[in-house]
Amino acid sequence: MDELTSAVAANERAGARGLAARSMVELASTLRLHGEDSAARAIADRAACLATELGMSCLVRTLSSAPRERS
Amino acid sequence: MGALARALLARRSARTGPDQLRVRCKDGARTAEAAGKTDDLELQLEAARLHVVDVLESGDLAAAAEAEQQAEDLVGRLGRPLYFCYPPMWRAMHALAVGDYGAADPLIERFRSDARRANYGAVDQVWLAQRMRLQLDTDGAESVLPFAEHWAEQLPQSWSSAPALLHALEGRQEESRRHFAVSAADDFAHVPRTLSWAYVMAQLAEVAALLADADSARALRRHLAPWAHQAIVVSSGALYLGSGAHYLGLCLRTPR
Repeated sequence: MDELTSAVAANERAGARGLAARSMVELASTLRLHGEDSAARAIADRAACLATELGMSCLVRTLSSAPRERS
Repeated sequence: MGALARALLARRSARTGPDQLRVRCKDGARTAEAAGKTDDLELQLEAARLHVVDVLESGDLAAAAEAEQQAEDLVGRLGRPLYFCYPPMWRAMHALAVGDYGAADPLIERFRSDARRANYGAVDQVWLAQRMRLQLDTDGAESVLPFAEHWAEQLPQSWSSAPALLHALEGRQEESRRHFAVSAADDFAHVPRTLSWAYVMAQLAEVAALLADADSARALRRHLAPWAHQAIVVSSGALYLGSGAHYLGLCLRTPR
């Protein structure tokens, strides 16, 4: 989880927004695996905003098909 | 000054690993400065091109953009068609990195047309790497699967990771595993140690995670560990894959 948190930070710092969105999706997924649903939802929401803004249709689809994000 | 720049460039070729990035960045600025004091534009461009790669690997896209601009100016001053494909390649890489996909699309095609005109050797492979990234980030990458399959057949150790990833993303696990096995043999020892090695290993990390292949993920984690604190860059700046920590994180998450 530390690595994905670092990846989000590094990609955001670099201005690599699409890559940051991808790292957020993976971090959210990892957080869910650890039962941290609330934190996962918050990160997934950020990823969804970014992915939508950038037109990352595939990522948006992935996010919208993650059932626990919508709960 | 030309001799100093050449000596530093020669030294750089022996310092390609991730553990040497800081030294490369420091030397790169010195090399560019020394080359800039000569009237050898090709020497200046070589120094600038390699500096672009080092700055990208350090994860500083803003500094890389400045280095790219300097290199592009040199391409213009040199006026040799052989180098004309670099500016659209870097601009496409940059557009993909910052998520400006509308800009990336025509630049990728512009790169291919300029590179073909100049008989640039790896044109179709660079084009595929960029096009695949664009499609993965936007509409889906099924359209590039035939190209990925073609290169996996031509250069299996370098390209099997691409169809392995595309099949895995679509849930075709058997096809993905077949391609993945080509690269995974003998602890990934046959993945060529070129400037694209980390790119291939990063793709394989994504595949291992998608296939929930714990043994491979563990091996890939070991191989990719030195990239934890830097970005993964393909070749001469053809593609920026972002933080290496992302791919390590995928490996660590894969169930043991």
